[in-house]
Amino acid sequence: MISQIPHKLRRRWARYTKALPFSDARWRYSRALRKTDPVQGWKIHLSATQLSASEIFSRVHPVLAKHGVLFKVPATLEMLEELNSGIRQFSQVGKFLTVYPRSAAEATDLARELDLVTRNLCGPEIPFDVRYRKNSLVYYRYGSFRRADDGSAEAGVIFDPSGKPHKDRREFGHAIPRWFASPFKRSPPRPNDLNVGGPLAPGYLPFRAIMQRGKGGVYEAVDLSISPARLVIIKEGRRNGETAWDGKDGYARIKHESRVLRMLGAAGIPVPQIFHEFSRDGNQYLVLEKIVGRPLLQQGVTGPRKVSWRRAQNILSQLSVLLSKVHKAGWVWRDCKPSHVFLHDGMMRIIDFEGACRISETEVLPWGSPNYSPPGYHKNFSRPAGQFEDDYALGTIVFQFATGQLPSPTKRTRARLYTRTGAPRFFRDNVERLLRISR
Amino acid sequence: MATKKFPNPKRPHSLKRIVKKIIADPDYAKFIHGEVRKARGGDRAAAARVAAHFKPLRSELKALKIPASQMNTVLECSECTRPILIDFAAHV
Repeated sequence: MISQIPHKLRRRWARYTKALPFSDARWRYSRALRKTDPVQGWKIHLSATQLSASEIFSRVHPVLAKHGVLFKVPATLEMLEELNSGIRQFSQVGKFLTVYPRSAAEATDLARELDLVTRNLCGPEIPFDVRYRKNSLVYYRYGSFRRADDGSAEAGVIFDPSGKPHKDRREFGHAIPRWFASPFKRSPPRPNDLNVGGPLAPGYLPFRAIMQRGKGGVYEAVDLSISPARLVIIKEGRRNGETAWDGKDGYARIKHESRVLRMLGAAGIPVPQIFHEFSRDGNQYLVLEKIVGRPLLQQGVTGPRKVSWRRAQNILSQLSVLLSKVHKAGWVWRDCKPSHVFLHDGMMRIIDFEGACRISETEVLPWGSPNYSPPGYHKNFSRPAGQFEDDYALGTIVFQFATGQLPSPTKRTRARLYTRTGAPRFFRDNVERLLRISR
Repeated sequence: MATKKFPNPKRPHSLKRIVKKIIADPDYAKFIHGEVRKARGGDRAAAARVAAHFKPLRSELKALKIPASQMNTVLECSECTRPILIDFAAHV
């Protein structure tokens, strides 16, 4: 049972971290800060998923205790899950354990020892740190050891040897300040993997990151392999990226989406065509047709500029036909939302099927955007069979376009909004039927 | 049919600029693609030509937020026969 896994792991994590004497709302610390602790230096990060965190901690804790070094870990596995999603800050992905060594020599010793005890365990890649060794869970960067007074972790400052302050940037190219030589042995050069493994297909030039988070990026790219060159979308699934409680990571989700898209495409549903699929450096990539047209609403926009129940009714008619086809093919989309529905010349096309599951599947984790998921849905670790996620999302979209707002949990507030927009009875009943499902 | 040749520009194009050129001119797209393929096969002259035509701005690379390990591949390429950003994709 998937639902048992989080409980067991949470209990184990609580047991391990109980011994750490200091904590705040988010972190647990190995000891109090001492006046003699440096204000900046070589930070060591260890990467973990919420599934591997306890095992990694049990192996590294003796090493850290031996050195008496200051370190911190997330107070809960949910917080680690949030860090690894990269939704708040992509640069923080994977930073499960942060060590604050007191000298460069201690940093290099610790990195070596921590690397040794964590071999063959898994964690996501930390985006902008330097990896200690290929496949290592140990990463490092030079940075501030203090949070700025305003409490923002981003606002840290580091000082160069002349005392000049520099912003401590958690970005590409800033892991090692230009005024310092790295005390770590240079990692062995990456093998030229592009010249091995059979025929290669160079030809995609990504030029825009539509999204970048722990599970992988979504890029707009030019496909040079055909003439004339065409615009494509490349979806990336990172190995160990945003690993869920059921063990599925970005890589697995992209593999799954490919399968779903092929089946839905074969059933005549207007989903993006798959041009190419490949693995690279352990990650999975899906090259998709770039859908022409505009989404019903851009990501993050909560309502249309003009509200109209007639337009909402039109969306309901079109989208419910598409959803019926998806359901008839045996799938529930589970990510139906306005930014995933594209309109072009009056035709609708739908995207993003990473979270789709079979209608009859129950042993599967909840999936979907919070505003378009039934209330309380994400607290569960399984789902009842059926298509209720799509029905609820459809009801939400239609309500949004009719009233300009997301549906309120109270029937009375919703009724007031219907009245204000002059929506007729039959329309209200249809929307309410869709929204009622899990209320 | 032989691919049309393009002389090296005075300065390498940025990512934004080369994308515009590739979309606007199918011959240029073919030329760049051909040079990248040759570079991948170990042709240093082709690698130098690609480097002369294309050097993404640091700000453009930052905006892509590609993790350091993938980015290193991108940056190392201008000095060797390994691919540039164009070789983001891989095995057939």
